[in-house]
Amino acid sequence: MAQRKTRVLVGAGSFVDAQAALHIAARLAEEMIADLGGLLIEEADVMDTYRLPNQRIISSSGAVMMAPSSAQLRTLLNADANAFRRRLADIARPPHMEWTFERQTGDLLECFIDVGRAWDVLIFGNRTIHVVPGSVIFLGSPSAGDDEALRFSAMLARRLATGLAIFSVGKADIPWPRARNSRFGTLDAALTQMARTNAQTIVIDMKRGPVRDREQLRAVLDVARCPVVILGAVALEPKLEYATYIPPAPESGPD
Amino acid sequence: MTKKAAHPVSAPRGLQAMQLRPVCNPDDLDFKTTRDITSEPHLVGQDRAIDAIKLSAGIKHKDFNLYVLGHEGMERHATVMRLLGEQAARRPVPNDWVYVNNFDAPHKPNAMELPPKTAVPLRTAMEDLVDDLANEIPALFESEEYQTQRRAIEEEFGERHQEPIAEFAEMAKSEDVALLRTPMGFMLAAIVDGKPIKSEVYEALDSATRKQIDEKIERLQERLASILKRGPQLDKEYRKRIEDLHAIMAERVVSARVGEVQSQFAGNERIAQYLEQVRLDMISNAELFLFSEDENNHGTFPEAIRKYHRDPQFHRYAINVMVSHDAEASSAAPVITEDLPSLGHLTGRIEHISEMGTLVTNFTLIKPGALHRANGGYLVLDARQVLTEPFAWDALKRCLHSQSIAITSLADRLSLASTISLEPDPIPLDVRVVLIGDRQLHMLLLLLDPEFGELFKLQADFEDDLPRSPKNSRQLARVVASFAQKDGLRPLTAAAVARLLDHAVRLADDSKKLSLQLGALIDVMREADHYAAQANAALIAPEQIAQALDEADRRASRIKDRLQESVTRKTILIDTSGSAVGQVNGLSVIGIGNHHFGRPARITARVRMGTGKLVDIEREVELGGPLHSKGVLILAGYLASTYALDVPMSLHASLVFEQSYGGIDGDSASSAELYALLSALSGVPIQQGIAVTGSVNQMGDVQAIGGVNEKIEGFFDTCKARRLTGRQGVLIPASNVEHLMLRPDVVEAAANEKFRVIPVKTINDGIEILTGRIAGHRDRHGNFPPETINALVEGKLRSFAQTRKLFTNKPDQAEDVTTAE
Repeated sequence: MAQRKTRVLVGAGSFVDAQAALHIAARLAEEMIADLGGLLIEEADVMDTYRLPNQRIISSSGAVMMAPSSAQLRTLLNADANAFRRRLADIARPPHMEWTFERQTGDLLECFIDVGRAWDVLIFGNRTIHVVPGSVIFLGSPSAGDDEALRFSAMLARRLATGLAIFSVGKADIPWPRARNSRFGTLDAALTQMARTNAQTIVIDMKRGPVRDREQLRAVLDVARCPVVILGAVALEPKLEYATYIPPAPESGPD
Repeated sequence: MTKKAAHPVSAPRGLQAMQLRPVCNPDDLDFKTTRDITSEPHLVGQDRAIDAIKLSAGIKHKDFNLYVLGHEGMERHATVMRLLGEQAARRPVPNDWVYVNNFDAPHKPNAMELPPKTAVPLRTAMEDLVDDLANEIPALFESEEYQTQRRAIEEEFGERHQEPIAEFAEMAKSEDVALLRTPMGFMLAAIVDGKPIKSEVYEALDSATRKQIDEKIERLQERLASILKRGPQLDKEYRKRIEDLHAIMAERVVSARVGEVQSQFAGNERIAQYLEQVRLDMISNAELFLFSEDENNHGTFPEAIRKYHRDPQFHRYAINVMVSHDAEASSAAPVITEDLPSLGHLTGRIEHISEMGTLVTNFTLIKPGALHRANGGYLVLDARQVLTEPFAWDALKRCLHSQSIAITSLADRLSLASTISLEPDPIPLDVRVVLIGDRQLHMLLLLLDPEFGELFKLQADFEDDLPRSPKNSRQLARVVASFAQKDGLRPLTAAAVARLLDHAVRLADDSKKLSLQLGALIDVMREADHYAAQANAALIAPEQIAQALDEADRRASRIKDRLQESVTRKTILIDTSGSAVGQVNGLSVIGIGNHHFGRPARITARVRMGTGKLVDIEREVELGGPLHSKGVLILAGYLASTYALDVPMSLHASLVFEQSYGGIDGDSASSAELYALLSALSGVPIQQGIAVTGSVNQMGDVQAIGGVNEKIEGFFDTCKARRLTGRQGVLIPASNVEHLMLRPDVVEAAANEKFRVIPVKTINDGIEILTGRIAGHRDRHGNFPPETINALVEGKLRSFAQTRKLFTNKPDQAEDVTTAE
């Protein structure tokens, strides 16, 4: 039986945010990716905010500058899209992967989830603002038996040449060799600590929790200062009230 | 006396055979065959040159470099190498020199002087050091100790980055402000209804609310800006801490390993300084060794035996050995010869390699030159080779002047290449340079290059020949015999050696000298050895020496034979019998390479009344050289000062080398021209069986000329081809008798009175032999005896003067004469 291809989607609001995520995708490409997708989302709310009077932007180095005009912004986004596309092509070239790229406008998370439901692994792009390499954080639940997502996190940590930190939400630790374990009673407590932890990437499994719904995912994305790898996104409920999915979502995670 | 002088002159006998060829007697040699000779004398008759070489080799002061003058085949190279080798054996082994990386300025590599036999061990030690560290440092950085410390630093700085941002995010959230990401950075916006405020909503707010929002946003923006501004400084601190950690970790293993190398070369301050620089550089660049681990291949051989020092990133720790005296053989100062003394081969060169289409270089690509190898010893060069190589002579002089070797690329000097290059430290130079060249080059250098005399204070002038004495003959015999032994030739009999010495005399062109052209003598021996081998002879006999000489002569005689054939077939008109007025056989020498041969040339003279002008036709048509013209003018002076002194010289005469279509130079035919002129004036015919050579002065003395043997042999061959009559011969200057070393067949003909070689001292002697008539001397009244040659000549000149006087007295002719004059 042929092994099923792993499909990885990288989504971000700008190329700057996508860069770190693409770096992770490149590392994964050496081992497991079969198809690679890119999604650049122009956040409608953000677009509108640009038009506020005297709106300023603070760069990653702390410089304060005027927000760009609509025309400038359009140019910037087009340049970002081109850069995003080129980088995807670069990553896909050596292993001869299929790659796709798409631009959408709307809510960042909603668009990402809607498109990403058809992909095995989603990587949400988030810019890094310093050079200190952090660890890979696996945010999991001890009761879920997260062996598969945990193995994935460990592999990613190895690929990124860093350590693995396990944030366990529940009453027990999630055991894993040479991993640093932190246990939290609630997801909020875990997120509060996560906001203060230097990480290269955060891994969550939507099928096994503790992050299971859109709001929890939005909370994770809000505190994250690094790319977030989302497994099992297919488990998220669609926004439509009634929907039928035939066939049902696959049970298996990433290969 | 006057009347007696008018009688015909009987033909004189020629020189005796022993005078024509004073051969070496084999019995005078103190051996029967060269096998009996045990000692190996190297050279004879070159004491002056040898002393100069020894002085140059031994003197300590600078600029006593040496120019060795002499002809090819004088064994100059071998002698120089032998003498320098002897002196070098007494001098200490020079120090080794290496180039090492200049860690502060890589484009200026450092030269390092090391004790002899140190350079190669140091290079090996450094290679081992790199290999060891390339294995040990990656292992060290993979250790739990390092990883733990590094992780601690990363966590510390990660938290210092994250904490303020997390606090800010929480504060913004608590104040209903959204932190939005944009392609350019972060943006803050007030939250209304759970979403960032829209512009139309903002516009609809009252001014107080807007102001409140604006102030809040501005305050948070400032706060965020101040947090983010601290980021780069934190990053810098983080890098510094990591570098310090690397240095601390690497320092332990690097210092231990470098210490081992230091102990291996303990006591050498220069190496200790260098190793300290290496240690510091390795500690601060420990990532080089980590990089090598990343790049490892997983080939057939285990990683432990990989030669990491060959990787380009480790070339910075390489030792580029420029000169090393580590071989067992080099127990003395070096004596180096460079056959191709180009700029690069002399002073060394900086090579480049192509990387990504660009030429790059580093200090390991510096290659040594002959000056490096000869440093502390001797460098022997061919002068002409050095002078013909572009910039080589300039570079050599510059190095000798500055007493240092500075490597300059020819491409850099001519601005032909625009790529990175190096400025290596000059290496101090202590070398004695010996140039070997010819005399002409030496004179030109002295004349045209003012620095030459300053830098090459000594000259070793090799003698071309040595006096012929029994002792010298024996010595030269031993020298050539020793060369035969060294060359593996068959032994020579004493007679063969004697025959060879006869050839040495002939090469010297002087029966009182022996040529020192050992190369030519050895070549004859080699060829004779070949013939001896063909004849299955155990010894080289005189017959083989003679065969070698004859064959060499035959090989070079094509043109000579063609000319001889032309004479025999009367294409070239040469009379060897009978007599003719105003016509004489002169002799010339033609040289083709090293082969010279003589040939007769008919010289004719015609006279008539004129204004005292002697026309040298060769000069008029620019076929005569300046020496020939000088000879003609001298004989004109002889005529003017000898005859008809009381009347104006009213002669118009012309002289010509018949059937001569090439250039003629030299004054050796001036006596022949004078004889022809005297014959033409006197009307007395000259015997055509006698050829003439010799120059003449204004007093009528016949003077020595060169190539006398070839000239005699040339006329002998012509006569022999026609038939030897016994009345044929050659007049030569008496002062040339000492130079005779004629071919055996000429000598044999002379002994059988078939051919004569007659020495003459004056023109009067010569003209008497040629015409068979007394020349005549003035009596006390100033008159020549009647019917003598001189009387007839003077009478003819007086008649020309009287005719001219009568002619000029005719009024209608005077103008014409004036015009003609």
